[in-house]
Amino acid sequence: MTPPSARNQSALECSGVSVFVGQSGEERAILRDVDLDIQAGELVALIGPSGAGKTTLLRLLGSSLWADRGSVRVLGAEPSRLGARALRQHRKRVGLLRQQDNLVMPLRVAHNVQMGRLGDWSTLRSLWNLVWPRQLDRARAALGKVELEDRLWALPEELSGGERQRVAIARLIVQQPQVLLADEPVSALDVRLGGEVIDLLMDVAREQEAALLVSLHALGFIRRGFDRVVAMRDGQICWQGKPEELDQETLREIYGAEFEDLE
Amino acid sequence: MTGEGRVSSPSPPALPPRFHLPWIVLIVAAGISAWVLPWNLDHLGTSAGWEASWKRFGSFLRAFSTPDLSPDTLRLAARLAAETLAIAILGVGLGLVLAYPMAVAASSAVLGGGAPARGPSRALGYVVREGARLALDILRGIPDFAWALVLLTIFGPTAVTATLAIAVHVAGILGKIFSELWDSVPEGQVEVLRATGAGRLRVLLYGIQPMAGSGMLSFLLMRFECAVRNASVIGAVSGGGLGASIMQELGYDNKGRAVTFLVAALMLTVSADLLSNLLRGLVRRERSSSLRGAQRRRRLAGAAVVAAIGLSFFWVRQPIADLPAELGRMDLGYLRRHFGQLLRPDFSAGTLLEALQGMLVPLGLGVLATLFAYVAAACFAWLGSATFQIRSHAFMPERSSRVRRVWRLGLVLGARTLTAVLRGVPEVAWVWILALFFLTGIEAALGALLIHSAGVLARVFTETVDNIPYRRLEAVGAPGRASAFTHGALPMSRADWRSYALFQFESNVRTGVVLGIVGVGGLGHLFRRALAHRAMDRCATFLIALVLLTLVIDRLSRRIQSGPRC
Repeated sequence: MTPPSARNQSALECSGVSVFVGQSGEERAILRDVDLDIQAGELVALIGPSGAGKTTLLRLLGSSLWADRGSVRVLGAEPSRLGARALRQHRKRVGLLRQQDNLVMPLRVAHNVQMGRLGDWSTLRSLWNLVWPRQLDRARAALGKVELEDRLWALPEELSGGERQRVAIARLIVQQPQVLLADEPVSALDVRLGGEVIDLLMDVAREQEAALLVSLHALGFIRRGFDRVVAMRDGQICWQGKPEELDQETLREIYGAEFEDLE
Repeated sequence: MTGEGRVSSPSPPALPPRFHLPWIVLIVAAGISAWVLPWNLDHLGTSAGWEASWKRFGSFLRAFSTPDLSPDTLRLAARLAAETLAIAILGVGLGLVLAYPMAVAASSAVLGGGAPARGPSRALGYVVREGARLALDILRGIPDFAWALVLLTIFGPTAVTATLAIAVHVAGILGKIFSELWDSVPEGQVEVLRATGAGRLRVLLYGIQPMAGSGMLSFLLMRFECAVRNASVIGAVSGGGLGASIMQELGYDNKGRAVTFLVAALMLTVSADLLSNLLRGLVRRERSSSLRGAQRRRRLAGAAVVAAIGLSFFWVRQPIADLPAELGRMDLGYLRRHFGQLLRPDFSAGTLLEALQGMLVPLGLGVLATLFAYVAAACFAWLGSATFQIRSHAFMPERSSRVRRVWRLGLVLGARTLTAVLRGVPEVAWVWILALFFLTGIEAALGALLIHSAGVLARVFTETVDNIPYRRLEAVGAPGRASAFTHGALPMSRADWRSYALFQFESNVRTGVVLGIVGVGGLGHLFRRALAHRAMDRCATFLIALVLLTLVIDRLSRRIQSGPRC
């Protein structure tokens, strides 16, 4: 369990956040007045039907997108107000995992894992490491934690989908972020492999006392130890609470017509 | 189009009506081109002129059966070939070094990627990007032969001038292509990399470049082949390499020696083609090879590149050693005045009209040469296609005798060898050869562009036809090989052929300017004449016209490529 001391600090804060798309006059909100507060070390699952705004919220918290209205604070900073250098320093502390495109396919696993350190390395050192990889101990140790230490020099195309996600988690271990954002990281995996990846992500978050926010499509994973579930619908947060409080009726309200497919 | 399910279709399907429109436009363009080009066939109008032309050409052809193979000439040919290769290697190497930082500045994925920029940094990024793109357009728009003429006044007629001219032009081309390849990598694929806090260059090194790497290498090798071909003729203007000596021997009427040097140039360009194909194969294998094998191959490739650059410096050591003395003799005040005028172009109505008329020559040459070369290449694609000449039994019921099979194999080999020679000899060298018959003018230029383009297009057309799956040809249900080709392979390849032909048209217009510099008229000729008369203000106008011509053709062809397919 997360130590109580870490829990009192806000890691992710959204207050009245809206994001619009389209030309002015014909704007459509994909996020509307979202308020959210996630503590350091808290493990949160984000659920909701397709198009609810889960990916947009994660991109916003990952500084890939700026809000049109409201304020977003990540680890106490407002990313949209940071200069280029400060933003890079900030991003080092926020790890990102996606459903796909987590690995650079032409580079070997060792380089993909070492990418977690690029925020600390100079450009020259990064270039030298590409030609002559050095100090692989951390990469080896991280791959050991995801049980892939023997694949250090493999090419990503030689790995299965589950193994690729585990390599991406090894990179997060090397990066040591204080916030972990994962956008449907197990959608392309079967239930067993998906469960393993979620467990690994939680282990990494607990070990680093990091806040974890994972968007999930399959509801079976939410009872694997998350502290809280946040549900979205039509760009708004429509429900949040403990996983065990989530009953069939609430799910039906959240997912609407999609609920039958989920079942 | 042919449908997959029409196995037993008795008659070939009709072509869609839109097919005809581009051809009508092309034929009209060809008519206008033929009308605007300043033909000069007067010397062939009289029987004496006709005979003299045949005599000159005949004696050159006879020289092919009696090339100068004396040990001295062969030694000289080998030395010049090595120098030519050195010019190409150093030119591309230096071009690559110059291109890389400019590509970084011109790429929106590298400089502007990641979180959306706001305020002054956004405006600064825009200025840097557009400035770099303009610089690349200028470097690319002015052909290497024109750069050679400008640099000649500073560095003198040596291999250094040729190397720098190739480097500057290659930098423009590589910079543009690299930045476009980087920009085509989807942002989503490097988003997780940016999330590690990596800076722009680190994202380029670990994400964007590896993903665009195979395209970059393939294009670099293609530019190297072109550089070898250009290096073997650029000496005619800049000095250095085989080009200067071929020009000199033709001037002294030493046809035997000229033929020996021409064959050396051909062998060099064909070897460069083979070498780059070999390298492509090695790179393809590395993608799936073991770590040990990949490392061994990478070390080998690294050592080979270092050795090639070292040897290249060795071969041009003399002009490099002479460089400080050459630069020391330079009158800097004169050069400043001389090139300062380039910043004040002559925009008088007379010069502008001259530039406009000059632009019509490479344009007209490009249209006519590409059109005729397209038809010739389509014929070569039929003759050289392994699918239609050797493996036609795989998609249609056919039985042929052994004699016929051997005959068809001969056709394929003959067509492929001939087209390899056609594209192996640079356009400028074709002009020198054809000028023996037509004299130096539009006719020789058109012939040179047509011959070379037919060779280039024949290779890609043949590859396109041979890449069509047999089941698709089978579905056409044509009664014979010829109808399967015209009603199956042709419609299926048309879109690809059009892309290749457009690309070749762009290249032909640029080469049309180069041929102008070697004497056939048009914009290149105007530029050379103005430079010879030290009229730098007029030179500046013609250089601007050159860049504009390249940009217009480039944008036009991009628009046609992205438009609806005919």
